[in-house]
Amino acid sequence: MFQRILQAVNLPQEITNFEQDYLQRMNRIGLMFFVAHVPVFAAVAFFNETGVGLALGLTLGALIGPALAYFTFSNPRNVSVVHGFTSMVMGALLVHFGQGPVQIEMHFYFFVLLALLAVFANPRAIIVAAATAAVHHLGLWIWLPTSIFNYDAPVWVVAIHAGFVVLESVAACFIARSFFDNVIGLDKIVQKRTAEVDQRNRDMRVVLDNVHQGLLTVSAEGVVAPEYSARVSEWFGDVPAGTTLAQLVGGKSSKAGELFEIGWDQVQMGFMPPIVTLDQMPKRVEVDGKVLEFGYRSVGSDPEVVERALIVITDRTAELAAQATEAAQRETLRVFERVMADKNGFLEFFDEANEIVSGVVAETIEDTTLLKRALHTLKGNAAIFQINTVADLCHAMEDRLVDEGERPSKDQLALLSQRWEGLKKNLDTLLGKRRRSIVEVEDADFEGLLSAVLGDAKHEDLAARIAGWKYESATRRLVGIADKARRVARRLNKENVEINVEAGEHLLDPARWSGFWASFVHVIRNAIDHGIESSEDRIAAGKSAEGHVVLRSYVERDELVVQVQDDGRGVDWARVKAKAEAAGIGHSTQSELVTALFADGISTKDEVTQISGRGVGMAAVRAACVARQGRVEVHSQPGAGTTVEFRFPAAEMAPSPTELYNNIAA
Amino acid sequence: MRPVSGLKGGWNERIAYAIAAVWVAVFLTVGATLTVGHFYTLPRPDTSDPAVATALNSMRKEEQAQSWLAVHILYADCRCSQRIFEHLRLDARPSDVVEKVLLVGGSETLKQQLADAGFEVISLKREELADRFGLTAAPLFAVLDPSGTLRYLGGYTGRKQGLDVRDTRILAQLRDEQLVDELPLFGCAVAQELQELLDPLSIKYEK
Repeated sequence: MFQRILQAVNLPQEITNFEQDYLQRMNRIGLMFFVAHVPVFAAVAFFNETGVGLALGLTLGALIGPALAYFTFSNPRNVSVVHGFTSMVMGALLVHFGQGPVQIEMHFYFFVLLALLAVFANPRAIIVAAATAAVHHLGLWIWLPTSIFNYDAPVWVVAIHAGFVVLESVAACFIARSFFDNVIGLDKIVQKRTAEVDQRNRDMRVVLDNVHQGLLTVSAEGVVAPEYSARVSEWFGDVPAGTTLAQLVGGKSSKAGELFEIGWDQVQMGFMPPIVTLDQMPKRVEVDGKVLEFGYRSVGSDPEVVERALIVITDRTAELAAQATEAAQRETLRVFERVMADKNGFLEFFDEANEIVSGVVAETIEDTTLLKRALHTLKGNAAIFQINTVADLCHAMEDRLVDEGERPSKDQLALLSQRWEGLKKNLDTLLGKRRRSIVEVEDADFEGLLSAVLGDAKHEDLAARIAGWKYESATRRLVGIADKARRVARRLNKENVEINVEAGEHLLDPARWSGFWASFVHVIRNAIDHGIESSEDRIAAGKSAEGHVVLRSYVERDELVVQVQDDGRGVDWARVKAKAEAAGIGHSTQSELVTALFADGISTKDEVTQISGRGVGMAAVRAACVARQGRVEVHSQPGAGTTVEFRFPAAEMAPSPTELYNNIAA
Repeated sequence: MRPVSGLKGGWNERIAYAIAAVWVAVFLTVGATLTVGHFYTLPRPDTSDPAVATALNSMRKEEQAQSWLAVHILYADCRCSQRIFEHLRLDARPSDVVEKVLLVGGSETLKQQLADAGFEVISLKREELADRFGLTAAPLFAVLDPSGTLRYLGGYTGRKQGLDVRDTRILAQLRDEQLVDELPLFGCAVAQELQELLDPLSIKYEK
């Protein structure tokens, strides 16, 4: 209890600047207050005839203490304590000089002064004042006992008198201390809280300076808040006050900045929930060679309104590069798998594709129609062999060509060249650079030849056998194509497609036919993508759930026929007619419609995908057919299916051994 | 107005604290001294003291022997006595009571005023007051009945510097054979010894 009293009476040692200023002011006012007593006491003494001169002298003398304290004490609290003593002196002087009929009432001034001392927010000032009165009376009692306890003032009257003084002193001390704690001391509390907040800010700053992500918040108006992580500055530079998110990004990419501005306008309008509008904001931006991914989160109490948003920016450059490397490695592995499964087929594709890539990268294919066909063919074949990096690049270049009317950019060409060279390098490592100069012979063929040689077979027969090593049978070729077609079907999620091959063993020169086979894949893709319906649609049409595609090759009279037949929905001739009419192509006869079907840019699909839809593939295959003196026929029944026939002169098949020998010698 | 910072701290401040301590002591003393005059109960002899009655009765003239005698002991320099002066001068006095004023100090004008008011003024020095009557403070009111018995010796008012001067009332009550409690003596010390005791600093009483 005593400790608590002491704690209440004794103020903390530290004096804040706020308390210093406050007490300075109060002490000054107190001094002025006491100075004002001089004329007042002189007047009181005059009217009560108690001695004006004495009043002036004693009052001025009473001012010595507070004036001395005010001008010399460095501790303002001590000045307040002196004021406490002075107030009792002034009270005593008033009682003396105001003696008369209302002398007893003059004592009330002591109570007024005790109350006023609370303004110093220091219990000691009040205690000193009360103690002064107590010491004063005690000293008087010691000096003249009868002066205190006399017949006019019995003990209990004095006790009541003292009780009121004690009561008011305690109350005044309580008020003074409360005032200190809650007002004067408030400054200290504020300082303490400010220090805590500053420390937290410093700790937060450490986090923001060291986190690897860019963290920032924006207001509902899109203005970036002043606190953001160090990465934001590193990537976007200093952020002046008032900068919006769009301006921040726009400083690095004007196009990206526009997108951010449009996106944030949607967020601000609030027509749609924040979860939707924020999802529409741009997710990726390239800044100084870095790929930065943006994440958005609405912050606030109302989930329907974006009061503030937290933006998290992550540098995905390394990750994407790693993904690209991994993808390239997987692709290389797939290449390896394809080579092991069908070396010749892959090499044939690769050689054909290599020519296309060389032409595209060197920008020697000036005609845009031919360029489109080349890119389309390269894309399709690369996709079949799951070289997706090349397929994606080709698709992007096609988009640029068709949508923007621009040839592939330098960056795109450089990427294509870089990727292709990488593939070439891997292939060289795998197969060696002399891969195409090796003839692979099956064991059966070897044994057959050996047997023939030892069996005295005719030279022409032996020559034919040997020459045949450089050829491939139509069956083999179509089986390989069928395999690719199945992969296309899987990519299109058309598991209900059955692909069969019906071909003879007539031989074909791979070198001569490579161009055709490269573009032939477009017909297969169209049959699968455009022709074969979904299982549900087929069943609804009264067909089997499984669609069928047959690849045929046969010799009919003096023609080699290569055929693709499906039992899908058939060609939509009305649509072809409409597209031909719109393109200004002849569309009156069936023959004209077939011609239109194979024209550049004509597609019955409205949507362009990675697989088809540009109307380029059919034109490419027709061109390859015509280049080999062939012609195309299309037979299609709506709902029943389509048969596309390529008819070539029989001479286009494998040359005779003599012709082959002459070609080699040349 | 701002404190002069050059005076703060160091030896200047220590000296200031020392001076302040002396100042506190001085004013505690001054305050006590001034308070004494207000708190201290001035001494007066007991009513039953025969010496006082004899001394007061000695002031009667022969023709006043059978009359009630009221004696006003006043000190010209005492404010309380001055209030009693005014009261005596202006108040209607009972006609069949002999009233005398024992006056210590005072001017001739004051004496004349009292005389004009019908009072017999006896001037004397404070030592005489003490020696002859055994009285050291004023204002004091004394009433003796026709037999010479001291019936009242006390103050005039119920409270210090009270406005209600009760001398005539007291007189009437006594003449009516009522018991009257003696009022405390509020006023000033007259005897020098008493003055020195109450005012060692000579603030109130000039030496």
